[in-house]
Amino acid sequence: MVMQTSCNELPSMSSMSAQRSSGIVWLRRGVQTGFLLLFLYLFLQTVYHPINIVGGRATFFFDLDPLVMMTAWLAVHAVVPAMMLSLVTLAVTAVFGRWFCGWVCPFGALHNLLTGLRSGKLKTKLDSGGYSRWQRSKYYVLAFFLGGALVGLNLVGWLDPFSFFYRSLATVVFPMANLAAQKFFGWIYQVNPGIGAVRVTAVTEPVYEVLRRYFLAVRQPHYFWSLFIGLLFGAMLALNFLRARFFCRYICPLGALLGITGKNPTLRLVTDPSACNDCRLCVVDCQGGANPQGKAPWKPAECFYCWNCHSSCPSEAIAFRFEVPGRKAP
Amino acid sequence: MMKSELDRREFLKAGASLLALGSLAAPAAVMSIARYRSSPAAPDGIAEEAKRLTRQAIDALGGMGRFVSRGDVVWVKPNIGWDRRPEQAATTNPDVVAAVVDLCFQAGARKVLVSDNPCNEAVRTFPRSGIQPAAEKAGAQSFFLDERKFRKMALKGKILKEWEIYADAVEANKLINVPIVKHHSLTRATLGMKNLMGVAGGARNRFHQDPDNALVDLAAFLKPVLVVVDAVRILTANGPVGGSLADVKRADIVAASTDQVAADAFGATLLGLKPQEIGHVVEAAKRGLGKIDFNSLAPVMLQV
Repeated sequence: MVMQTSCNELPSMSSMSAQRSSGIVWLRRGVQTGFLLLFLYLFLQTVYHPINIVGGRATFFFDLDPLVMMTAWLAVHAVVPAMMLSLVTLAVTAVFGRWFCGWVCPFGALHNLLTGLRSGKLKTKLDSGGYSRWQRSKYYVLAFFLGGALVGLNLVGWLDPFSFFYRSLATVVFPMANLAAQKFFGWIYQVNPGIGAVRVTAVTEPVYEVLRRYFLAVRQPHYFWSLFIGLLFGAMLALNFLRARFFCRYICPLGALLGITGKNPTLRLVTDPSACNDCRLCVVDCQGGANPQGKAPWKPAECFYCWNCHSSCPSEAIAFRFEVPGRKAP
Repeated sequence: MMKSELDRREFLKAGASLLALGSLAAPAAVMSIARYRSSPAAPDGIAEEAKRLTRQAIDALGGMGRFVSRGDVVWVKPNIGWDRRPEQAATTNPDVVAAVVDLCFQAGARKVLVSDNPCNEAVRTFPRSGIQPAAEKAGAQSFFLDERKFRKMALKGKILKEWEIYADAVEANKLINVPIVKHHSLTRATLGMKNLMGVAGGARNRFHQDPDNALVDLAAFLKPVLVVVDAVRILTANGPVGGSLADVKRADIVAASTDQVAADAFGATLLGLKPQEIGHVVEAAKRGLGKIDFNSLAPVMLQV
């Protein structure tokens, strides 16, 4: 299905049938969901309940995080052995590119989710989706943290994605959810609404018992600065409506590190210029702002390998191919 | 639907009069004291001792079937108050608790709840005392109390007119008190009646201003159907918190009684005290809650 449009005109929504997401995009969404749920599950393992012992796996994502490992090494010349897992992340990124951001990072998955809620207008999405030179700012953020660590000041927890996400969950989201649940189920218990012998508590009490046993805290958690942290968290999430995956593109120091590491991957995006009709739907859906269209050179350091471009392209002009960097395929 | 707290008291009164009638035919023992022949050192040995003593002490009263009926919901109230290990004798022996739970189920209980409103954080006391895992292993439900379920109840006592009491404990069919014998820095000893504080909520620290009357008000309101006194290990000094193993003594005894005053009086003697030296025991006897001279009840003495 080839669209006859001029260079700068986007196809209107009505002039093309809805493009269904490709299988690989669905696979990616499934994997992202899995890692996000894993992160939330591990988070719940650290809640002070019911036994004051944190399971060994709770640090899994932090162990995978090369930024945490590097800043720890720079600042105190010591790392926890489990942090060596982060070398795997670096190796995979160096060879295959920033798949971590597109498929594994749970904070990224959250931003991805919100980005998907942007207004349906293609023009809006195009404006908020294309590459911007401001995306270089995350490299300065990275330099700041690495430099600080070098002089013994490890502040990476301020903006490391897992630290940021975990801290927001622990000090803001979970306490709010806990309070809301207790207030709600407490209110139902006190009021005991119902008709005759049929009481709402017959349903809500068993539910509350499960929540109490497995999810809720024994004592309502209170944290200082939770308002500030909450506003910061809200702001980061809301910025996705300004630019797609704002945090990932402009702020994330881990993303910057992986971008540097993954500058010359073996799996590369190739555009077929003869098939491309300049509809720029690939740019609309691009998560990383990596110039998938091929008019400007594709930026592997910004590419999350989300495969949205490949899925959105109506003329199958985009493909990912294994190429040894520097040597073109015959 | 929430039952009023009077249902249980009426049921107990009815049960008591039935028992009185039954006792005309064959006098049932009111108290038993089971003593172990030896004092095993190994943990397995102590566990076995605790279980045997508990079973035989209750069997000597006619078995748990005398107290628990088929289909009953039983609230077992051990001392899970402190963040201490069983060896430190600040909390009830978990094997005594497990044995009580077993006997309840054997007597046909539908549900057994084992819980407490502790002084230290429940997340610490429940596992560290060993009681939560032991109770759950025996099939009981053992979980932290639900803050919503403390309800102001009319105790109509001398100084406690009304107080927050845990609804589930009062609404259960039977309440079994399972204290451990301990020294107490304020009341000189903490035994069964003091242990019942674990069913109360609110600002319980106020009880300590007049413990003699407050504790008896509470005991008179709750009236457990059975008291199982854990004296396998007892805390002889620095109670109720304890901590030092030097303060722990092996008495190797478990006693059972339907008379909560007699049970406390007996426990006091194990600490080297005269029952008359403990204010709330004297007050309880004065109010007719039981007999301070436990020997007059002709307790069944057992060598296990």
